[in-house]
Amino acid sequence: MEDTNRRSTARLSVPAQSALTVALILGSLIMLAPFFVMLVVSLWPNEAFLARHFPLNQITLANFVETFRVIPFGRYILNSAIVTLIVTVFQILISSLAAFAFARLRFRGREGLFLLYLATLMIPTQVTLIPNFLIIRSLGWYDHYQALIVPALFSALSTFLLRQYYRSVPLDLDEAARMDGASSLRIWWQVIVPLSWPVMSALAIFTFQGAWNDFLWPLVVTNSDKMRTVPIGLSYFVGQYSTAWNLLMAGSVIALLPVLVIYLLAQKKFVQGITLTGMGGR
Amino acid sequence: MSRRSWSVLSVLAVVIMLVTACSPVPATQAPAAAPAAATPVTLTWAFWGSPEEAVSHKAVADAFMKEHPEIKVETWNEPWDNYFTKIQALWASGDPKAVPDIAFLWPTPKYAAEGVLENLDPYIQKSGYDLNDYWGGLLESAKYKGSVYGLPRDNEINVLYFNKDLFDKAGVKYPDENWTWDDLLAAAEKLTVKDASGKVTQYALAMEGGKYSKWVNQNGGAILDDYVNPSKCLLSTPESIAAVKFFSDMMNNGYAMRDADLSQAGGDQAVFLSGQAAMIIQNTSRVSSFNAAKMNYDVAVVPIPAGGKRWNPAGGAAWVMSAKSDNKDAAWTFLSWLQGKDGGEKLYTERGEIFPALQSVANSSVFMTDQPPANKKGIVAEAAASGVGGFGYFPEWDELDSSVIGPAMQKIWAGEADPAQALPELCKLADQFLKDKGFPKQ
Repeated sequence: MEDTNRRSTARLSVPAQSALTVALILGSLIMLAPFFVMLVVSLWPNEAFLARHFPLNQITLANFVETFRVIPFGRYILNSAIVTLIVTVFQILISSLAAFAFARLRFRGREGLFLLYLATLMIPTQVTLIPNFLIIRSLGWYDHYQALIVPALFSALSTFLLRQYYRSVPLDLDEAARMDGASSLRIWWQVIVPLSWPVMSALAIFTFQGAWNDFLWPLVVTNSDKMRTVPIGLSYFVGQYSTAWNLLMAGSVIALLPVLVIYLLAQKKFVQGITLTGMGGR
Repeated sequence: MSRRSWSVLSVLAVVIMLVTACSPVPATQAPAAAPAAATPVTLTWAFWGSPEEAVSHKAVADAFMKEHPEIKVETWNEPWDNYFTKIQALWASGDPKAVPDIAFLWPTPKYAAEGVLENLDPYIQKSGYDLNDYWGGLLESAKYKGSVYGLPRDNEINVLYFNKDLFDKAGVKYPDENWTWDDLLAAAEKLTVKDASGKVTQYALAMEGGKYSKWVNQNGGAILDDYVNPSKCLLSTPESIAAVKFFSDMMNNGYAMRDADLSQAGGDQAVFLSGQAAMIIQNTSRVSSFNAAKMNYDVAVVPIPAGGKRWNPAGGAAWVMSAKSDNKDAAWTFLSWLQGKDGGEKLYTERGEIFPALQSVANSSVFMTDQPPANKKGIVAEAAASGVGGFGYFPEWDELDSSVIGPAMQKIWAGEADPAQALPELCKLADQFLKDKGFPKQ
């Protein structure tokens, strides 16, 4: 991929290339601006933000400390971490097995069943919120980790994306493995999974991000500080009469860090994944 | 198996252990709930606010449990902007165990119309609870079809805050109860500071546009002919138009901050703290932050037009009882204690968190302290002028206000529309809205 890029830019004339560079720099500045504002507001007292005046001698890290004092933010981060990690690992595993079945195994009603799965993508979460809540209540999971984790373990969207990718892997590989006596599960684990690391890691980032930022469901199924997650904690800073912008932004910076680290670590795979799943154009 | 598959398996095992480690929690809680029924009754009490804000509510709950050991109060708080989402989801689920028994709520009529609230009339009659101690018009905001569905905790009293330093600097006398609109305008002229280019650097007044009903009612105007069952918009009467024009002219002359500029600048609290505005008109929720900043300020009654009357929009969020509560008698015991002059009302007022809904508490030493602002009598004088007229008490009010009245008013505050023209047009739309919704209802 790098090769094609180098070749295509080489064909551009010097003015065209500099124009392109300027446009890209401008674009990234616009994209970075909100993050910059977030960082600035998090480093000054709330009064500085309200007055839109940020004197350098008032710069402080106190907001980050205060965030942990005003709300049990450490506990929220722990909860978010537990939930997000389990959801990410299991959603990928379970969806991968489902996608394998839909892409490689032949059974009656396969296409019909798959269409049903896809149909669930059309129903907005707000509609299923109350029925899901009632199920969680009746299982006795209200305000427990299970309520945060179990409903997110399976995803129709992840299954769909993985199935599309698995279908592009030549069937000959399966047949060869079967001739050697491999079971379906072994084909999944030793043939399909190793070939689909890029798409799986991209999906893992999406899932991680989605679970880390999820707001409505944790709000409804948790009740105590023991079970709250980071996004709910952040909304405590928006009060009835005033908003603690400095704490809100300091909390947001902290909440952003894990996603940022994961993204930077997996950036290459992420971009590959976007290209492979057809979710971004290059 | 390869090393990689072993490592995957061990991750799996750890995760399964984690998940199963969580599962005994409900098992241990279930038996704990059973004997609780034999000993004290447990009530769930819901309010909005951060864990930090919840501290004072928890102190109130503790004080109650000391007096009533037979009732256990468990608190439940959510962030302000999500509280309503969550509580509606809980009611929609119809699960009485999940729904709080007593909740803080606004606006009460909307929820009463949905049938999720308990009618408090029978409890009030049986216990002889005194409704006459509430400020005038305040209980209207918690009534639906003539019955009381909630007990308001506080009353929103809008007073004039003024920065003494800025008044001294401009050589203007402090406002008092004799001030009229003309006095306010004369002071505003002196308190407005412009730079060489004509840009205003210090405004005389900052007030949210949404509080315009104060001027309208002071001047004998009104928003609607009836606030429970309206048939007509009255913002097009000469009195209403003159009142809106008084306020919009102050903005057009640069005396008062435009609504959009005010929110851009962080609201009235921020501009008053920073000295960008010499006066603000706002409820008593600002007192604690101005005291914390050690500002040199005081409050006064809001000036009225010559021949007009003092008027304050009665309103405050109320404690309600869920129709799904399974401990209604205990819930009433708690509710009437919360709203009793020796119970919750007193504790919240002592902590400086509310202007009390009960007249007896406001007139007692609990409110009349030596903490700033000095002019507590001014606040009580505004409170005594509380009445209906700031907003509608019918469930469709929110929609009427946000889709018809609000947008037209925004144009006036922005200086894009003349009240004499815009208000009659607004009323035409509002009348149509009311007709479409079937008002006036029989």
